[in-house]
Formats: sequence, structure tokens, C-alpha cells
Amino acid sequence: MRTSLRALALGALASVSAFAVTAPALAEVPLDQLVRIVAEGGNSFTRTFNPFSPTARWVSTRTMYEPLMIQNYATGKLDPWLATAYEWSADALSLTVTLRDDVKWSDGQPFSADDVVFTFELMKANPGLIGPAAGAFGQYLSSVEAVDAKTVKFTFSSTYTPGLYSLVDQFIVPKHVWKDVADPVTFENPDPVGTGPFTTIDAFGTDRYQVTKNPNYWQPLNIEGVFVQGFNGNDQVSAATLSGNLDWGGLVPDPDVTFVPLDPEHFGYWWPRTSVVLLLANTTDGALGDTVVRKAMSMALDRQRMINTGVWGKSVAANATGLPEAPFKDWLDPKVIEAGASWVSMDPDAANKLLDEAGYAKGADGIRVGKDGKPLKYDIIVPSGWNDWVSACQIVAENLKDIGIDVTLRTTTADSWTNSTFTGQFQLSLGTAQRTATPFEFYRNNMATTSVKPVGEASPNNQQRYGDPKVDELLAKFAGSTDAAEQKAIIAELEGMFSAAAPAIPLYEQPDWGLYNTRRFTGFPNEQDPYAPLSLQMTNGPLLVWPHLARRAD
Amino acid sequence: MYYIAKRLAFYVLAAFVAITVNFFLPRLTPGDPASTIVATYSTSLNAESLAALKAAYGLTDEPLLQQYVTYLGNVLRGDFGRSLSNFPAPVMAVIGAGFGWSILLGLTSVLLSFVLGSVLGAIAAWRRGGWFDRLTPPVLLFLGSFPYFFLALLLFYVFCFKLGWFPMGNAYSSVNPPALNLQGIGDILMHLIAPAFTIVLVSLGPWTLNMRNAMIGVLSEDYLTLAEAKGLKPRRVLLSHAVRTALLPNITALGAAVGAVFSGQLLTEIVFTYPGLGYALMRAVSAVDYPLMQALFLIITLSVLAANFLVDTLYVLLDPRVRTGGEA
Amino acid sequence: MSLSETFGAKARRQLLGSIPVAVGLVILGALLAVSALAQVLAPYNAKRATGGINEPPSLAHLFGTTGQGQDVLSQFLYGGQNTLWVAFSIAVLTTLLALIVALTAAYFRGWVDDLLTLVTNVFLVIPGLPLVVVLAAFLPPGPLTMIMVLTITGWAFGARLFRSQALSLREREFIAAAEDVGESRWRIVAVELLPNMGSVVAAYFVNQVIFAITAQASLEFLGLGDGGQITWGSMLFWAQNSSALIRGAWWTFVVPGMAIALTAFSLALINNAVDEIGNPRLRADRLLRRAGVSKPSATLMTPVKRDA
Repeated sequence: MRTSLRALALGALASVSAFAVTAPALAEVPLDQLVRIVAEGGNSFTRTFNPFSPTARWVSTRTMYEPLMIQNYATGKLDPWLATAYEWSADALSLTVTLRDDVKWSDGQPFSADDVVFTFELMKANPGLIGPAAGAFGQYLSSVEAVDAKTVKFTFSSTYTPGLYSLVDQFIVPKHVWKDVADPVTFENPDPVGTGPFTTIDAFGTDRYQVTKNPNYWQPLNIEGVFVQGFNGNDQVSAATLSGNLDWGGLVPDPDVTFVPLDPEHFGYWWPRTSVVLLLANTTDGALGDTVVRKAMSMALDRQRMINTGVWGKSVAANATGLPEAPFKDWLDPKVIEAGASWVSMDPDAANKLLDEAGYAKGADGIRVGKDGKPLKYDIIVPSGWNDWVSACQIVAENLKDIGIDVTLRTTTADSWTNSTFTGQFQLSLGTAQRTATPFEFYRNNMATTSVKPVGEASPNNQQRYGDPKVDELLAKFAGSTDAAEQKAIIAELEGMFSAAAPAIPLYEQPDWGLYNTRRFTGFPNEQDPYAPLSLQMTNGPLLVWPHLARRAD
Repeated sequence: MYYIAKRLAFYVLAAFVAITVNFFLPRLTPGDPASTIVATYSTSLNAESLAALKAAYGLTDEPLLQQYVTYLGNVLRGDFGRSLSNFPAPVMAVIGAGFGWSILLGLTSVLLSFVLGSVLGAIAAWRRGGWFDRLTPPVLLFLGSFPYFFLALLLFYVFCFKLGWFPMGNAYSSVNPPALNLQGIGDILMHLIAPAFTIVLVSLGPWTLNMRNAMIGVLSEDYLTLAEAKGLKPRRVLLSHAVRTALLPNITALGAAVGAVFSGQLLTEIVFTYPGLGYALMRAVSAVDYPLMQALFLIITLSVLAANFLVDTLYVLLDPRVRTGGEA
Repeated sequence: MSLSETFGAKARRQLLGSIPVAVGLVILGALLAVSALAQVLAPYNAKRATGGINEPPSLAHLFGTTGQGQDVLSQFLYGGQNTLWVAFSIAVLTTLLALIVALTAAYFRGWVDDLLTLVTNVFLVIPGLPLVVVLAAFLPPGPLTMIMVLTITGWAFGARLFRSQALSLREREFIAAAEDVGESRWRIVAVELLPNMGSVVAAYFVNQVIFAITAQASLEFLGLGDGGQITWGSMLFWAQNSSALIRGAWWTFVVPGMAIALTAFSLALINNAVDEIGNPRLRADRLLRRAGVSKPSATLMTPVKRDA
């Protein structure tokens, strides 16, 4: 349950002193009015709602501050939000965004183009502010200006059409509040003013808090607010979920067996898949740099067993393009998938044959020897506690032994794992791709020379250090294009190159955990009504859901 | 007074050692907390943001020694910096509430085990060789053989989850702390029972056996036999003489147990989602939150030292012999 | 320094005739034996999936299977091996370290003694588990880290105990006599002091095994162990992570938990009986040591006066 552990880490620590903060008696809204969710781990919450913090409180970007538009990973569409429309100039060097008319901040002040411009200028002046558009100015953005109160114009320094998604994804903060903040990076923002549905802190405790209605929200709302509770571990979350003490979120093992049968009428889950778990082999390390070896490794793996043990069978094996099917169905080229199927399917005999033919003969101990004379002995590293990944790694080690590659599983701390993988000082490891609107970032981060850093220099991308100049050209062409058909053709070409070179080994699609309990509230997205993602951990996803929720009339 | 001053000097030294270990330990291992944190929590990492955040986190590339001096100065001023895993909250805000709950849970469970254990031990010793005396030690030793977390998880599963007798976590039902009236205190107690009971079960054995053995020692002493011979009622002898004398070692142990409370209950707090410092320390460690980790470790150490110092002072009052000699 | 050597014939009879000791020895012996024979007894490869996921106990898998499909019985056996050698190593190392510190202090006396006592006391008052957690988090997980961390944090009480014992022995007549005769200090330490500390050392050693097993399991349960190693603690970690209790797979949880508890219990039974017969002073110390905390403060000890 790596996802859940990471989710726990997200909220974590910190706390408001139960003794100190509650000085003015806050009026608690009765609990039965609130949607109870599990979104932040553990206790020690602090009353800090700075959305720019890398460890921002969960509600800050899911109920308090809103972006211009929301990439809806359930529908694959870019949903209008604070902005209603965007338009590229003919040369794709400027982007004009039209804002919604009727939006007010929670303190009653009108929302305008000035707030948008201010937010971007603030991020430019303070590089320590983290958000979707962080670093945009350094890379492709040259200026942001208010054409009028409801129109914002972004001017680009170079054509980069994927920048659209980062810019409109940026949450906006109010100028009239933040202009007086001395240091926005360390601003604790205990009484947030936002455009989101829930901005009022009615009660705040060290291990739970409630956030209720923004009186000026621009959409109709049928619920009063949310109640966020902290838990210390998976068992505690499961126990609360199974007891019906949570309305949304949470995690239970094997929900078909443990969860749904308890109350089939009200308990449900929906685990769509929007990313892929990859096996990364450091291509700077001898035989791991050989495509044949990586493909043979891929053919030795029992993906179905990883799915059964790690995610209770609730996923599918990944295809040869490395892309998840549901969110990128319009981009996927069936021909590439079909042609590449053989190297992402289990066939240890074929894998052995491939290695024999390529000259990786087995030594006396049954371990194959590389062309440099070194035996194919590797460590696979994984943070202890990310247990769906650890069990996948166990299976990788087992399977690879069957084709004469000796793999030892080493669990490490998350800190040292991050350090090793970022700096390229590892042999085998697992990874996932970021969720993005188009496959552009996936191929840039896994195959472009521009994303390859020398071993020893840290970078979250291209940990396997694989680069192909041809990919750079195709990506540049993609970034300069506003023509959907042309972009699709470029991605298809990249898919083919990925399948041919195997820069990373796709394992299985990672489910986005999501559970709901409709005893008190209805309207959650699910397989029948997939209007938005159900996962609480997807940034902005919950914003799409709040207006759909309604309290059940008893 | 000389003795107390000497002990005080020793505790200052111990605290200094703890602070120093605490500073150098995480820094001597490879890894870079800023990169790790930003990478774990954010998808938009770039060199410029990273540098700015490092500055905001107070992480510098200065020589270690210089950082250490700065750190010592900050600690003396009570400035522990901001928590990295809950940025930008100050570390002290993170720790604030948990401290009180940890102390409540610790005191309750230590006092309960002390009282229960002493009573059980006294009964066992009084009826030495009886069924109670023969049964109690092995049963308590068996319960005490379980790791805290194991028993805690079993109790959590059975009594909180399956049977629903006790709440599944937190220190009270409402979001804001309850008023300290009868109802509010009852609510707090309901949340305290399960975790406290776990600690009592595991730690009861030593208190009981300790009391039992001390009692047996005292009971065999002549003056008690004499008192009995003089016709005093057995119960009177037990209560007024034997128990009081035999309690002394347990009382001494009490001081230390209170001081070291944080160590023992860390895992129990985690299992029962009790808002003490246990989970905070665990999170700080796994999230490489240096400032929080350092502050927590320091606070725990200082609590232990304070409790020890208290016991030392009491010791002087109880045992005049120590005033003259004693050791560091 | 076997237990029986340190007691007279009467005490030895008493000890072996005691029911708790017999029960303890049988349990401990059985656990040690099956763990030692894991390679022979284990029906399956403990690391590989050899059955379905979370299968309840059956003839094919006597203790059921784990959430990863491994055989719990095989894991229990190999886990015992890995757990017990680490625990005994820690006990041996902490006992040795404590003895060395105590005897060095007793041998050199003067400022060396002062210094070592100071260091011991500092280690005693710095809280155990938090330090262990912090230490373990920054070292590569594995048995060696486990041994190192628990040895560093676990020796101080023993040093304190042994030093007191050595000092009180030194005041006894036969040692004084040996000093008067002009025997070398080394000889006094090695021939007079050490053999007479046998029962204290033995009891401390047994306690250290208990301490090491529980502390090891706690660290592994917190995820600070090596997840690739099979130990009783890591079995519990995995059971917990695959929500064994919630899913009703109690066998993955109860088997390693009981293994740990039974080992500790058998050792405690033996030790408790040894206490009854052995040194009465030690009894109090030992009990205090286990009094709800892993490490009592230095001040718990009856102060031993140093000769001026």
C-alpha cells in the first residue's frame, strides 16, 4: 500500500496545540453534516494552509484554492473552472484565457485577472513557492498580463504547447491578501481566503479538523463541509472504513471480500488506472544498457502475480508503450501495442533463448555473464514499507533468477532510495510516471537526452539515464504544434521507439485507490458515472466532486 | 546541596551529549532532505525552487561545525525551526499538543501498573505458596513477554474494532478539546482505557514480582514476627508495616518509569492513533524531517532527565546517607 | 559460564527440579532446535510463493500462507534462525561490552573509573527506543545494523550492574586478602572477581536476549528492518502491511507473535527461578530493569559507596 503510505506522509506531522490554538472557542458544525474523509495521515496537524508548501495541508488545494482549469483524468478532458476558455495565438506564442464572471473570494472581494497575474508574478519572485506552474518563467513563459478584468494573456518565450496544462492547472491566490505577506514561502496562512467550496475553519484539533462552506462559492453546494481525520496506519484506516465511519476515501485490502459485502447497497469502490508501474534498469550499468537484456528481463516477469499479490488482482498488465490505457486511449497506437506484446508478456523460455543468442552465456553457478566478463548480479532497491512495490520486487528477483540473472532485494529508507535513484546510483528499481494530460512528459522524462543527467547529479526524471536525440527532435516538434492530428502522429512514433528500445520495463497499471460509503452522502463518481476521479489523492480531482455530493434525506 | 548540584551538572552534560548525537547522526549519512522532501511531495522540482526551499528550510552547505554552533545557539533560544514535513509550521507547533497527551497516557498507565502491581504483589507475598502466588508470576511473565505493538494490535482489533467497546482512536470525541466537566473527562477516559490497558498488561509483571519479592524479604524480618507475636492483627501488620517498607523499591522505580514513559508507549500510541509524540517521532524519522526529529528527541531526553533529577532530589530527602557521598 | 556452574549442588537440584525452569527449558530448547534445523524441517522455500494468498492452515501448509503466498511454517522456522542468532549476538556483545567496561573500571579505578561511570550514566539516561529508532533509520537496514544499534544502546545497564557487583566483591575479605598478599590486579580481576560474578552475568545475559528479541521485533515492525530478510519481526511487519487481522488471516500474525512471546517467556521463567535461588540483590535490579521501561535510570540502583 505504497500509495496509502505516501498519502499518510502527505499530511503528517505537525500539529496545532490542542491547548494553544483553540483559544477563541470555535463553533463546531455537527459531524453528521460533514463528509468524513481520510486524506492526511497521522495526527499532529497544524493550522497551516499555505498552498505553495511542498507539504501543503490536503484541503488547501482540494477545497480552498482553485485552478483556472482542471485536467479531468476520468474523462480525459480539460474542464473549465475559474477560467471558461483558452485560445492559442496562431504562432502558439501567446495564450489567452477568459475568466469566469461570477467568482468571488470567500471574504466577498471579486476575483479578477489581477489575482491571476499576481499569483504568477509571486511565483516568479519567490522560486521557493511550489505549484504546477513553478519554474514556468525559467523555461518557456515570458510574461503574464491582464488584458481586462476577465482576460489574462500568457506570452511565451518559445513555443511550448504542453505548457498550457501547467499554466491553467495553477491554483490562484487573492492579491488583496497575499500582497501584504512578508515571506510567502513561510506564510502559515491560518485563516485562508480562497475561491474554493470550503474555506472556513470551524474547528481544528491536533488529529482532525473540519472545513466548512465558503459563503460566496460560485457554484451551488449541497453539503456543509468536510471532516478530515488522521490515522496512523493502514489497519486503522481499514478499521474505520469497514465500520462505516468514513464517507469517502480510505483503503481496505481486497474490497470485494472485506468491504462491499458488509453493505452492498452503500459501500462501493472504483479504482481507475491512470499511471503505470515501471521496472527501471540503470542503462549506464554494463549489460543493463543492452536493450536485449532489458527485454529478456521483461519477458521473465510474472505480471499477473504482481497484480494478485500487490493490488488484489485489480489491475492489468501494462502494454509495450509504457502508457496507461484509460487516460491515453486517444493517443495509443494499437499497432505498436500489438507488435510489442511479445516483450511484455511472460515467456521465460523465449527470454532464455534471447539471452543465449545474444551471447550472455551461463557461468558455472548458473548466472549469466556479461560481455564485460562480469556476472549479471544486481541489487533491486525499494523503500521498506511500500509494500505493493516490495512484493513486486520480490517477484522480480524470483523471476529473474529463472533466466540466470541474480537479483537481490534490498529494502532501504525512502530517503536513501530517493537519493540513489535520483542520482542514478542504483541498478534496478521501480518507478511510476507522473499523471499528465498528454504522453509528452512521459516520453520526455524517460527517453529524451534533455532529461538525462550525469550519474551523481540528482534528477527525478530519467533515472535509468536513457537518451535518444531522435526523441528530442520529435518532442520539439510536438511542443511547437497546436494541431491535434500532428501531435498524435508524433506520439505514435514515440510509442514505437519506446517499444523498440525498452528504456523502461512496464509492469502493471497502478490503480488510483478510491472508496465511498453512500449511507449519508450520495453523488460519488464511480464506474457507472465516471464524471471525475474518485481518488482523493489526485490534486484538483475532489474539486470536481464537491458540487455533485448531496446529503441523503433520511 | 552539593550532591544535587553535582547531579544537575551531570544531567546538563547528558543533555549536551544527546543534543550533539542528535545533530550529527542524520548529517553523517548520505542523502539530502530537501531533495527528498520536494521530490516526494511535488512533481514540479527544478533547481531554482530547490535552492530557494533549502534556504527556507535552513539547510546550508556551511561546514558542519559551523552549522553545529548555529544549531546549539538556536536550541538555547528555544528555536527549533520549521518542520520540513509540515512546512511551514514551526516545529514547536507540531509538538505542542502531543506532549500533553503523551504525558497523560504515560502517567495513567504507569500509576495504574504501579498500584495494581503492588496490590497483586502484596497479596501474592502474603499468601506465599498459595494458588494465587503460584499462578500470578507465570501469567504476568507471559503477558509481559509480548511486544507492546503485538498486544496493542490484538486489543485494537478485538475490543475497538470487532466489539466496538472502545473508540478506535483519538484522545476525545469532539474536534476541539472537550470542556473539563464530568462528561468531558469521561470522554477522555474512554479514549484512554484501551491504550493504557495495553501498557499496563505488558508492564504489570515486574511491578508485581518486585513487590512480592520485597514483601517476602520484609515479612521474614524479625520485627514483623515480633509484631505478630505481640498480638497485632495480620491485616494491620500487612498494611502498616510490611507494605510500607516493601513499597520503597517500587516507589524508586516509579520515578524512572515516569521519565522513560515515552520510550515504552511509542508503539502503543501508534496502534491506537493516540495523538501523543510516538507517531510524530515515527513520521519525522520516515519523512527525514530533521528539525522535528531533533526537537522530539531532545524533548523526550529532557523529560527523562527531568524525571531522573526529580527522583535524585527525592532520594536525598529519603536517604540522608547519600548527601555526604554518592557518585556522579 | 553456564548456569549450573555458578551454584552449589543444592541450588542446582532446586533449579532443575523447579517446574517453571523445566517448562522454560523445554520451550526454549524446542524453539532453538527447530530453528537450527530450519533447512531440514522447512517444507518449502520460505521466500517464494508456494501456495495461494492467505490460505488458512491446512495439511499442505500447516500454519497457512502469507499475503504473498509464502508458507508460514517455513517462514517461522527460517525466521527463528535469523531472529535468534541476532538476538543472541546482541546479548553476547552487550554482556561482553558491559563486562569490559565494568572490569576496566574496577581494574584501573581512579579517573578511569570516573570517566567510564560517567559515560555509562550518560548512556543510561538517554532514552532507548527513540534513539534506536533514529539510529536505525539512518543506517542501511539489515542484521548487522540491528546488532550494532541495539548493542550501542543496550550495554550501559549491564556495565553499571557489573561494576557495582565488582565493587561489592572487592570489599569482601578474600579479595582484600589477595590484595594484601600482593597478587597482581589482573589476577584479582581474572581469577577472583570474574568467576564470582557468574550468576549476575548469566542473569543479565538471559535478560539481554529477551530485550534483543523484543527490541528487534519492534524495530522491524516499524519498518526499520530489512524487508528482504525473514525474521519473526519482519513476518509481523508483513502481516500488518497486508492487513492480516482485517482480512481474517490471523495465522500470519499470531504465529510470529507467539514465537516471540514464547521465547521471551521461556527465558523469563528460567531467569525468574534463577533469581529466586541466586543473588537476592540482583533480583531487585532485574525487576526494576524490566519495570515498564526498557532501561531504568542509574539512580534506581542501590548506591554503592566507593572507597575513599
